[in-house]
Amino acid sequence: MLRETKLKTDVVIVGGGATGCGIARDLALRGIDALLIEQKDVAYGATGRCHGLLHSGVRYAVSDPHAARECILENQIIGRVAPECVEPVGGMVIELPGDDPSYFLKLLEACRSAGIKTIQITPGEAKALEPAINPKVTRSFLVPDSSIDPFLLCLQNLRAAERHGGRYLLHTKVTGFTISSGKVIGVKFESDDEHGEVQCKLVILAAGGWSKQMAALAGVNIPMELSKGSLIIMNRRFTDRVINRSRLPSDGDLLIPNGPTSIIGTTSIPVPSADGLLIETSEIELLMRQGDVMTPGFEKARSLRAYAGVRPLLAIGGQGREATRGFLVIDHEKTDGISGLISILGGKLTTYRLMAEKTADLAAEKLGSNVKCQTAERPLFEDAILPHYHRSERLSRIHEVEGGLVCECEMVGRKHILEVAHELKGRPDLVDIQHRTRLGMGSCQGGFCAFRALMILVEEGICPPDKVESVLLSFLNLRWKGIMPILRDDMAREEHLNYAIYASLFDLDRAAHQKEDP
Amino acid sequence: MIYDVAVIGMGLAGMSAALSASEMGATAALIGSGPGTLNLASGCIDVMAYPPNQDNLPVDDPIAAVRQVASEFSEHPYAILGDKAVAKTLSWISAHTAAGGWPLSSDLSKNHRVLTAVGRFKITCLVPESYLAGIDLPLYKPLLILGISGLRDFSAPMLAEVLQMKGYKVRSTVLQGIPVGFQGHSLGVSRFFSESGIKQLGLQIRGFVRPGEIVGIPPILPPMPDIQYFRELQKVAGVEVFEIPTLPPSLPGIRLSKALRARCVSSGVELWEGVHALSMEESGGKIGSLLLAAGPNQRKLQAKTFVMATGSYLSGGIRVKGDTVIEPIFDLPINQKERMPLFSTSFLSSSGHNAGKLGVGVDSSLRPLGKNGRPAWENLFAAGDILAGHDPLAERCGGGVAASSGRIAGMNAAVAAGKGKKS
Amino acid sequence: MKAIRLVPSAPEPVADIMFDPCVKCTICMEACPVARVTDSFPGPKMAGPDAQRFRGRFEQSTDNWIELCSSCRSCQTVCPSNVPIADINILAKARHRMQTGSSMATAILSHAHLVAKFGASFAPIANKSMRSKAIRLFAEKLFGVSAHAPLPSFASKKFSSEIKNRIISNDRDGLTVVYFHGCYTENNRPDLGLMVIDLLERFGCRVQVPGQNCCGVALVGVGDLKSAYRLAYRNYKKMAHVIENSDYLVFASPSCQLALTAEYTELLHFHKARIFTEKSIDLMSLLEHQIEAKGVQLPSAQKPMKLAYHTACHLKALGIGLPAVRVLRSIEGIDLTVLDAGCCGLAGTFGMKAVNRDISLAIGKAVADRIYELNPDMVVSECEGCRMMIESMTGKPAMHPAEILAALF
Repeated sequence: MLRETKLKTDVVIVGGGATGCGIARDLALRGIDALLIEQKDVAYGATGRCHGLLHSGVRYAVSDPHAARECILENQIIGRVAPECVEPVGGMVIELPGDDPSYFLKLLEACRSAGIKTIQITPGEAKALEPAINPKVTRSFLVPDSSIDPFLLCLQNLRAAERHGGRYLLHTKVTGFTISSGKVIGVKFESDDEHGEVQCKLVILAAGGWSKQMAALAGVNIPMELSKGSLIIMNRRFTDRVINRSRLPSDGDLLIPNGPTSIIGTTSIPVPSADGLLIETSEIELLMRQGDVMTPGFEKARSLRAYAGVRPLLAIGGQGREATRGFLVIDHEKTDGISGLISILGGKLTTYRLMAEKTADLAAEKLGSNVKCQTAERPLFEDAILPHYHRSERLSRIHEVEGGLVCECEMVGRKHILEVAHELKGRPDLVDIQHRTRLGMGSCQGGFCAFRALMILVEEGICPPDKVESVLLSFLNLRWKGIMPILRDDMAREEHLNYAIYASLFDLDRAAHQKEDP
Repeated sequence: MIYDVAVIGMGLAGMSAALSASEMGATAALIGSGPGTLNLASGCIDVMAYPPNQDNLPVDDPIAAVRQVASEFSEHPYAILGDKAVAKTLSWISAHTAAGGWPLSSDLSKNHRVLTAVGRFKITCLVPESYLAGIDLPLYKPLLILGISGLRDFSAPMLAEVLQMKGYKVRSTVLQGIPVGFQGHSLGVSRFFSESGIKQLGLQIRGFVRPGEIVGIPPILPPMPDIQYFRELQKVAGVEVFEIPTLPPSLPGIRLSKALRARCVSSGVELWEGVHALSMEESGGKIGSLLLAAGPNQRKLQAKTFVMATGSYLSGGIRVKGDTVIEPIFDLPINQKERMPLFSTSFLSSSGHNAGKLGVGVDSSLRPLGKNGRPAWENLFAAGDILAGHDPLAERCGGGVAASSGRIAGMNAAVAAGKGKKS
Repeated sequence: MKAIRLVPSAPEPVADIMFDPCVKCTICMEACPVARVTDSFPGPKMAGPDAQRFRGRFEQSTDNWIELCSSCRSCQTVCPSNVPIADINILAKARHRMQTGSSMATAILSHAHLVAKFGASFAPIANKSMRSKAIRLFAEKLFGVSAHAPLPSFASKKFSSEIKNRIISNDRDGLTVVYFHGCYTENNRPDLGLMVIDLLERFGCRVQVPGQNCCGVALVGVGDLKSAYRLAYRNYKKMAHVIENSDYLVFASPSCQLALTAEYTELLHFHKARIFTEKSIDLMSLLEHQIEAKGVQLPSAQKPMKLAYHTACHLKALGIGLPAVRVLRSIEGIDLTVLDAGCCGLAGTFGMKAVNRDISLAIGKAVADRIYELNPDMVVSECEGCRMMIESMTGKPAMHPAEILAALF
């Protein structure tokens, strides 16, 4: 029986990606009452399935100077206000034999015009800084790229929003809008254990790849194109910097350090929907090959997981990669005659704060508030203080990790898990724990620690005993989806071990079919 | 030195082969990198729990199941070995482990349900004495699950809650103040339970337990094949105690492995540890020697006959190369069908993965077959997970196949080397 | 002696590749003798493949516990995934050492070859000092070298001096072998070296003992790779030419063999040392080979002997099986049992540090207990460290297998 709930707020934000969470915080800081609804956990869409790159803008400098300028400005702001989410690794552009030689200087010049700081270095210096790169590098320069943790970014924004009166519902689907006399006045929602309606004055669609579907529920059409990009997470960190190629952005030419791993991406394949994404073998092969060009030996190295996300692109001006990566705030009162509804579309993770600012500005205007945006100045961690440890810090703390090490691959302690467990709001989900702690993001991909984390959830009363098997199975099966595309020798051996534990020892392969014993 | 029998692989199959060859008077070399998957498994020996192509109901009579599988699936190793050889092997292994200080139960007539840390039951046949009190738990039996604060691979409260939900009369208590170390794994905790710790634990159990209860503990007794620790614990506690297996490192598995290893050593088997077998060299139409590597150091090992007990994926006996599965030492054909997907889209399902059933086919003497369907080498035998036609994990038959094929392969190799007569 | 400087460590990119195959099976954790007895060392899996993913190339090393790894290599020996765990740990030690320096005990003990040279030059005084409890206690306070750990006494004449007067056979038909004798033979037991040469000659080998120096295994073990490299280079310069023209390079000490045949190339990246690897053989395997080739029957033991054989950790790391066991068991009158009881606890110079003494004893207890249980006449092991530790723990005489063989004649 689903519980029936009635809620009331000023603004409903649909979508818990970076933009949605950014809007939630922005509105909360302005004293505007808002409720965010997200169908899964934070960053379920493009936000959690991108490269985790805080762009310097170098990738857009030539093709889209405006976007590049936007990127570098936001890069600097986020580096300042949200340093706990950012690893300022720096970036390097490398020119390899076969690249169009005229592009290098064009790119350098374009960066300078866009205000992106560049430091040109010799090939020898490039190799000294990054011994793993292709030794045939001909020219190189440094740029201020950074690596960002998109989950932490979303969570910090939501936590901050909550501290200032905002609310959020995760794992909740929007099922419809209540429209009265051409005005949206409510949002219908449903989750595993409740359904209901939120009364509101304004709805903001920040649903990324699901924007078209959401807008359609309100009877509105949004011109969107979806482009799938696949990425692979590697077992180790190949380079300490983001590596870019000296050429127009193309498939597989971005290699980013992310904690103790490296991520290679990406591809660009048009898809009809953000759901049901499949990763093709050809994409995997392409990514591994391109990675091998940038860092020889890559193809033989161990990969941990593959994932795919969808770029929600505005369908104006070109397709796929060429479609503009700028963003658009749509006031549906003006464009479609439906008031109380605005959409924010397009954009990228790096400019999330700016997107949220522009959207919140419009929302505030509509609600008659003239409180200004504070997110460019106000530090994120002031509002949401939860520990997040940088790579080597975690290593230095292994003896002190309170409560013991639960995930050895990523060095996550019991105390950390307990701290985030309450955020699950009674809904036990190991994937949610993973997003909040990096548990299970290492070499064994949660093979061991998932069980340990589950025990903690049960002991804390967050997971009832009748959900133990289903929670574990859903984690293991979801994990498997990411591992299957890259199942080569090392990972196959890892899975053999995990299968021995969960099937042969714990008998979980028979759980779905058997009635409860005896 | 030219050995009579060289066995590659130090797991259950390899040790069984080396031991049986040695018993027949053969000089045996046991080659391998380490203890194999025994350290990771529960310390029990699975014979057959879920026969292939059947419903998900586990079978009660493992030997009957072996007979049935043998008659229905001609490519299953049990079809080659036969139920009598399997039964004999299980008694033989039990005798050895008992002599090694770590007795396994010798009741082959039925499968047992062993409680595991997640609250589900593992269906298996031979169990260590330290599990006996907890097998086939009836619902009415009052249970006390004992936990240790800080031990990260085991939660007594969770286990008790899950069992309660399933209708058991169970409660839990967690012992505080036992040094578990910052990692909290069972190896570290077992340090404490070597001497005085056992007495302390026994007394604490005695203090907590209520009349009629039996006590389940995490596997924290020392990883030594010495049943005295367990017997001492039960004696001091004054009640029946049983261990509950969990994630690796599996201390009961380690004990079984060490017990068999000690039997190998005392039987005169020579251990070549820390080496990986790279390739073979032919001599006069037979396999003459193996090339072994320990880092950059390489050595040739000569023998009259060879037993490959190299395991499957985890141990490197077979490897995944793209879409193909290969056998890396002797380049033997694997029974992989064209366009057969190696893995299922569901990680844990009763049908398992095709990859689990792959291996090398063998003839009736356990000689691996070459590309022409005849034995690849006159003096090469195979045993264990490497054998085709069975899924050791999904069917829960890995232990039985490994021990039985190991023992028979070891015997056949010894005979082929001119020692003893074929049984 | 603590100087902190941020310096990029030794070969990191290579170290990165090494840990990919690790599937976290935990088999190494059980094999580690140190982790079994103390919680201060997090175990080889954590110290090696787990931590390596977190070690930034230009970051400060925080591996303050890494010196507790005894470099016994048990982890690497048992790893089913072929992860060179011990090598990763040694590289981590090297990195840590470069930034934080070594304790005095570590510095002294890893340079044991220099200490030993000095000691051998003043053998009578040195030996007397080492027997004096007061001096040992003082040394422990001052230098951190355990007052109770077994230290070898010094010979009055070094091995290299002894063999100057010895006629080396010119048997042209025999195998030509180069004998690498190591510091222990040079400074403490030259008589053992003479036995080795006698045995080799008896079984048809023409032995050469070119100039050589310490193998450097103790330096590698503490992560002082630079100093070890110097020794490796000098050994190469002194011996390579002779070895190239010989059939074999023979060792009687497993740790020396490990250093020259594996650690020089894998850890010091001194790839010319390949010649050592290719030509190497341990003494007992060579003698066995010669005995079989010549169809010789070894004489019986002069009186029945009950022996226990202890497998040195570094011998396992060589991957050579147990040749001493095979040879000794072929002798009539010898009843030999393989102990198979794990690490003796000394681990070269590891157990000589005062801070490690308790750990060392706790590790070796299993070996001592097994010896008590068996009550052999003697314990046999190729490793001099193991022999010293076993003698000091149990009081039983511990011999090199060459000594048993030599006594037959």
